[in-house]
Amino acid sequence: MNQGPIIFLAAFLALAASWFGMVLMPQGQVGQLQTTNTVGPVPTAYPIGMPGMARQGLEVYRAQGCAYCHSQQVRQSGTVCDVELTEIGTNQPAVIDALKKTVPGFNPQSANQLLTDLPKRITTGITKSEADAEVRALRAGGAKADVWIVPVGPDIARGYGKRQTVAEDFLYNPSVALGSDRIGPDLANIGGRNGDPNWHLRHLYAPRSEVKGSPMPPYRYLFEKRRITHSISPDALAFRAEAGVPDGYEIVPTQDARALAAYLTSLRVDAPLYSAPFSVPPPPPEPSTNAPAGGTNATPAAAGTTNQPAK
Amino acid sequence: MGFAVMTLLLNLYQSLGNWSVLKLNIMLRFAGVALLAFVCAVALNLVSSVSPLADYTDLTSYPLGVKLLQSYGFVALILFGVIYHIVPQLLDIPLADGVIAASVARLARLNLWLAVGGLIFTAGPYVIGGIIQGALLNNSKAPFDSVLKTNLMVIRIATIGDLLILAANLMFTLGLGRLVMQFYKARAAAAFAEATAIIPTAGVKA
Repeated sequence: MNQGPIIFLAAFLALAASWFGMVLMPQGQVGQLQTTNTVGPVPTAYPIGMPGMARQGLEVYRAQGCAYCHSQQVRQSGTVCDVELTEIGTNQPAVIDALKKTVPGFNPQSANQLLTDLPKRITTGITKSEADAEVRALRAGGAKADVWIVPVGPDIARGYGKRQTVAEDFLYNPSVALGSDRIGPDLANIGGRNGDPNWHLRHLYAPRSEVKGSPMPPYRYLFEKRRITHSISPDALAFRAEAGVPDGYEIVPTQDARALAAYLTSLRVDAPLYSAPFSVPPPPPEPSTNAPAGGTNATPAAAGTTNQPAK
Repeated sequence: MGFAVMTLLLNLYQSLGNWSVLKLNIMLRFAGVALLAFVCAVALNLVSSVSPLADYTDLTSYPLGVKLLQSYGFVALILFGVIYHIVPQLLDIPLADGVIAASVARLARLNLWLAVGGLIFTAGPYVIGGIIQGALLNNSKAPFDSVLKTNLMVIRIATIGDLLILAANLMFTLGLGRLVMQFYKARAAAAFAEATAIIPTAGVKA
C-alpha cells in the first residue's frame, strides 16, 4: 500500500505547525514593536538606540562568549501592590478609622508613629483590588494615598532589575545575547547596578580583585601592560594590590575593553513600560526660579530672589 | 507528560519486539544505549516544558545535560554503531560475526562503555546540578555564591565525563584507523603478491 502522500502530509503538517508556532506567532507578537513611551510620571521615549561605543561593545561581548556564563533576562513571578500615604489631611480620626477597617492588624495605639514622617508605605504586598479599596477609604477620610505597583520574584529580589525583561528592551540591539546559563550573575541591569566603567575594566582585568572568589576568567588580553617610563598614562587603571600588577608597569585598556565596559554600563532594565509596569517616585519639584541651585555669583542680598531686575 | 513517554516506549517496544534484541551484538548495544538516551532526553525535555518546573530548569546547566543526551547520547552513539557495521563492508573487510570486524570488536566494546560512562558523568551532573542550581536561583535568600559553588562542583564532575567521552572518541578513531590500515595492508599485500608473482615461463623461447 502506498502511504507516501500520508507521510508527506504528516511531515508537512508537523513542519507547518513548527513554523506557525516558532516563526509566525512570535512575528505577530513582537514583529511590529516600535519605540514607545515609559509609563512613569515623566514619560520618556524607550528604548533609545545604543551609543556607538556600546554597540561596539556588544560585538566584543559576543566575541568573548560572555553569554555562555551570563544571562540578560530578568524573570518576574508577579506583581504586588503597596499603599503609600503621602498626606494625612486635616481629619486624622477619619484616616485612623479608615486604616482600622482596611489594614489588617492595624494598631490604633501606634497610629501617631505610623502617621509621622510621611510619605510612608503603610501596607505592602497586597493585591490591586485590596490596594484600591484601601486608597479609596483613605481618600474618603481626606488623606492622600497612592497605589504602588511592585514587581516581585527572585531575580527582582536579588536586584537583577526593577522589572522583568521584555522584548522592547532589545528593540535596537543588532543581536540579542539572552544567555542560557547563569554561571555568573544576570547582566540585564548591570549598568543600573554599577555604572562605573572603571570598575568594569578592573573587573575584566582581574575579576578576583573586585569580587572575592569570582570564577570569571581574567580578560588580560584586552589590556596593554606597559612599562612606566616617564609618567603614568592618563588612561592607566588604578588597581588594588590583589590585581597583581607588577611595580613599574601600568595597565591600559584597549579599545575593545573600553567598548565592552561601555556596553555593560549601558545595560539597564529600569524603565517602567506598559507591558512591564512598576511605580516610580515623581521627580523632585522644579526650582521656582531659573537661578542655579546652591551658590550663585549674585551678592548675598540678591541670592534667593527671582530673576526680576534689581531695583 | 508521562503518557507521551509511555507512547514512545511502546512504539519502540513494538518495533523491536523484545528489549533483549538490543543485547544481541555490539551494534545493537550502541543502538540500545542511544534509544535509552533519547527516551531520557524526551522525558527531561517534557519536564522542563511545564511552566512552573521551567523556573527551576531554565538558565541552569539542565538544558546542557539534555542537549548532551540528544546529541552525543542519541545521534553520536547510533552513528558509532552504524559506522562499525558499515565501514568494514565498504572496505571489504570480513565481519567476524556478521556485524563487526574482529579487529575492532574490543575497541568498539571499550568505546561503548567509555561513552556510557562519559554520558553518565556529564549529563547526570548537568541535569541534577541544574535542578539544584534552579532551586537556589529561585530562592532569593540564597546568596549567589551558593549557586556558584554548585556550578563549580557540576563543572568539576562533568570534566571527568568529558575526559571519558574523549577517551571513547579516541577508541572510535583508533578503531576506524585500524580498519583503514587493515584495508590498505590488504591492498598492499595484494599488490605485492601481484608484483612478486612468478610468471610462468613454460613455452617461452629465449
